[in-house]
Amino acid sequence: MSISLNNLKRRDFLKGSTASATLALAPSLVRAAENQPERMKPNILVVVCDQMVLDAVSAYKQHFTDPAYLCHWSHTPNLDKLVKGGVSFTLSHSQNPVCCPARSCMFTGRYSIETGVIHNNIGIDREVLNLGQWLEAHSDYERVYCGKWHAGGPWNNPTVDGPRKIPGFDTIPSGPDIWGRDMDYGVSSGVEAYLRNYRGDKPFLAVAGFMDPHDICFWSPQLNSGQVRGNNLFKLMDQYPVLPPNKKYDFDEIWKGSINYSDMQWQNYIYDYCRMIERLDCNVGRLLQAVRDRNDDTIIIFTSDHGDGLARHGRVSKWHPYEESVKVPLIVYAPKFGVRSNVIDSEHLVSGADITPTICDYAGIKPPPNCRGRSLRPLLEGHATDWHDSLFIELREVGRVIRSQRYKFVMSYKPAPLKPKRAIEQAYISKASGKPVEFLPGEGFKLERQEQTMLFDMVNDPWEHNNLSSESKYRDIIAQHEQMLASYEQDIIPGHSFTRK
Amino acid sequence: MSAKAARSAKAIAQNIQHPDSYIARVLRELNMPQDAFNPVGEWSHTYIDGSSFFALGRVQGTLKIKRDMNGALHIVNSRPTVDRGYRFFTIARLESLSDELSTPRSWEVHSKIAADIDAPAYLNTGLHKRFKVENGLLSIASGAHRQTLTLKGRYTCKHALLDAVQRLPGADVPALKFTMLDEYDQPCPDQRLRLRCKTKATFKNGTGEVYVFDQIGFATVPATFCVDSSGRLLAYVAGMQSLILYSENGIKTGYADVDIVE
Repeated sequence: MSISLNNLKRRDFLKGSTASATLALAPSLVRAAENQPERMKPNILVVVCDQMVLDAVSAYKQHFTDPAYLCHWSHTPNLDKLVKGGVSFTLSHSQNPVCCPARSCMFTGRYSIETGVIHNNIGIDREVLNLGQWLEAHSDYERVYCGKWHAGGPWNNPTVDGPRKIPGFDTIPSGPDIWGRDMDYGVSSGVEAYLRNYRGDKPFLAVAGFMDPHDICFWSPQLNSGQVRGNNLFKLMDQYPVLPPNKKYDFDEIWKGSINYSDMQWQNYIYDYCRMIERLDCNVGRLLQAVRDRNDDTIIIFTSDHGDGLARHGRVSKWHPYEESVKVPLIVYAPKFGVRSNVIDSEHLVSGADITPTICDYAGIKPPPNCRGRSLRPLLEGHATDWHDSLFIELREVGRVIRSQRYKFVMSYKPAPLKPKRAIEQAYISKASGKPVEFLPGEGFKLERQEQTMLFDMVNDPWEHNNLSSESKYRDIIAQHEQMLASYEQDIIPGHSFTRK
Repeated sequence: MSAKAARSAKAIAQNIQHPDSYIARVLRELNMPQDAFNPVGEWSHTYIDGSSFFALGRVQGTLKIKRDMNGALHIVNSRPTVDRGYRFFTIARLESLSDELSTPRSWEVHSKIAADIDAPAYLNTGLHKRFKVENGLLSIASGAHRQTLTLKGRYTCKHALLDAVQRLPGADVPALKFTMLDEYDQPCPDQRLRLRCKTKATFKNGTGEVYVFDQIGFATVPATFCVDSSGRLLAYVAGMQSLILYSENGIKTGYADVDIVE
């Protein structure tokens, strides 16, 4: 059954949706629903975690059968409930696998070059509206944000007022530091309380921004805080995970960055990461129970900004174009709102940019102008749709990925030297001339493009062992993907944040 | 040694045998309390919430645990937020047994984000939950809502464990297996707590004997408890979190010369 929310009141919806079957069996629920304020839009809870790889959800054991995938080593009962009660995607991608850019895309539906957030610690271009601002202008949604935002500048958590308030959102205070252990319990409890206590007439959009499992960044050699263990200090024995088959690999890559950890160090790294995933799952559990207790039509969307290396390609952290970095969980749970249950979609290419248009669709409004993502609603409800057959992903300011159904093509322009404190200007200034570099739609940057490219066959080589770009038989495939890239770039409207002084 | 080289040479945070480890450095920054301590008596401890990443002495919040004559635990956790005007408070009271896990039979938890502990909750963030365990069933009440969970085997709450571990030194206790409720409501099964070693440690005011216990399990980044020979918990380190004894019954340990308003 397809229902347009634009012409439907809440009471009509309850009569016509799958909820009616449940309500018919529960007269007390019918009375409760009738006593609720009349409205036609669902409440929406978005849960964004930080640095979670897609395959860490234990419900995916049947899908990712290789024992090196994390679903065999972590246990996520609450995320599993979301997977079983909703639709989740195994071809879900970060739009740009690092915190700020990914979040800017998630909450605008635009590419990061358009939000201006091409690097960490840059704020969204003032001319690009975020989801909160868009809903504020075009709907009656209450909008509240708690936890990590990191799309406003070099800070993680928003304040209730002042320059660090997120435009378009009320803030539930969180932080101050960025450890999953310390911060996330406060975020979880704060948002749980909001879900339990909110009795307003208007629908709400609530966002919980968790830090976990981002703590793993402090297990890296760069931020070493004494966490990486090269011994069996805690006698973990048979609990040590299987290491990934691509820990060592042999191909030329555009960005190098493998880490020389011992097997024991990697095993401890992955073991600890799995425990952070489980800690995150506990925090999700509080929110899920609060939504269940509301017994209303709240939609839950769960995702992450990017993944983590986890020894795959010898990597820690994100920033790179491989699956462990760009693939993120995306689960939509709305059993009372027509979203199918227990559907694991491994066919459609989706990304963080699809979240804003999806929320707008359920809120009954159009997405913001020039939105690059698409509403997932037809996929969630099982309606036929002509879905795109490729994705445009950005990374490292000037890196580009085209992911098609079968292949992943990676290229890069030659980046300007980057000094973190001046990232806004530096990324777009050529070293040779010292002048700002223009982005030319359809042509890329005025800077030269790097000759080196990468191509992976994602069907026959899911662990990305082999870079096929130098093999002549793939020349046409590469040309097709370059054409797709040019087509995406043709539409880009670059943001201006990076020119802000 | 360059900063980079120093970082790469850093010892494992919980390896108390290594003088450069985080836990060894923490202990060197506090005075080992000299007063007698009775873990089954009446006492109050204030812990500073720190981090193994930042310099010693940085305070990210406080955790106060008070045990009364009847064995009940009164716990107040206060963490700052990025908004100077607001803090996150968790206030709990647990009716616990004086056993190896300080097993709580019933408990009550209030949490809120507010300007101070007596101020009203900001933006709908006040929460009150009541818990009771009977015949292996945990019932959780939140407002009009009731939830029931089955608890298999032994169990405790995360913060009750900070009390329980104080009764383990000297006791002939094998590795404990239990479910931990994190922090008070989410069941984390398959926990293991065991003695790693008994060793000498250096403090600000000399050397002393400590017992080191480790905890592993579901949702637990390996955690280390360091208690003195009379049982008082001096430090807890797990991943990026650490709890360090700031005062006992109002008498400060002098940790890193930190001075907070209790």
